[in-house]
Amino acid sequence: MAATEIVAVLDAGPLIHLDELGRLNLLNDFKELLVPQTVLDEALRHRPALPLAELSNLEIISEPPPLSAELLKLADELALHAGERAALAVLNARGGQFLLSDDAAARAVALAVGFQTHGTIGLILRAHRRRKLSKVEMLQLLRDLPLRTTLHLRKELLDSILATAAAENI
Amino acid sequence: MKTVTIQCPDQLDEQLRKLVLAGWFKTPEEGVVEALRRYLSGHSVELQEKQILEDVEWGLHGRD
Repeated sequence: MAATEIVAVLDAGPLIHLDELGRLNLLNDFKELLVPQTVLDEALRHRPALPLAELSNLEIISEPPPLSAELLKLADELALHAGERAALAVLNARGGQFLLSDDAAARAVALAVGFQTHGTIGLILRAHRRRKLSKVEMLQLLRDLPLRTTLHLRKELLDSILATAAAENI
Repeated sequence: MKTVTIQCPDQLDEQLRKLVLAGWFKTPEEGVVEALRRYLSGHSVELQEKQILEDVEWGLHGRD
């Protein structure tokens, strides 16, 4: 599927972490980027100066639809927060393909009902694959994750990701 | 069995007590343990790291 066809729904994690890295613009590489107001409110609590004007494809959904019975059951089972529930409801109702989230439980629910899910690290690597970041920039952003963001990663895991990314010839 | 003492926001406490009154849990403590169990089941380190490694594969080799 070409990126220009992808409708993605945002959870707060990638919004917060890409802004912490100063690279919110990496989210522009989707046809539509939908964000429920609840999610945006959460992101703004962490990043009050979030430069939303950088996101030319952003649509804020003020009143997300209700969750389907199937999604509601899974969301209850995994104790999802209001923002994650709203993001899943929008994804379902708007025919989106991607949930962009760093929350393991929200991603598990999205996967269980057939959506793709990706997080901040995947978005950084994708930006390099799609020539939006040079290899040097990509590796620097990965190295900066524990220094400049609140995304928690085990050091050994990050080292492994860095080694994999450095070895790629894209 | 460990004893954990926590401070709970009033609103959460009120919701918890409503669930106890409605018969979902015998005690507030039982409700807290159930909520924690459900949260932890979806937030395991193994699950998070598996998702991140899948993300690395998509980020580097995906087609979209």
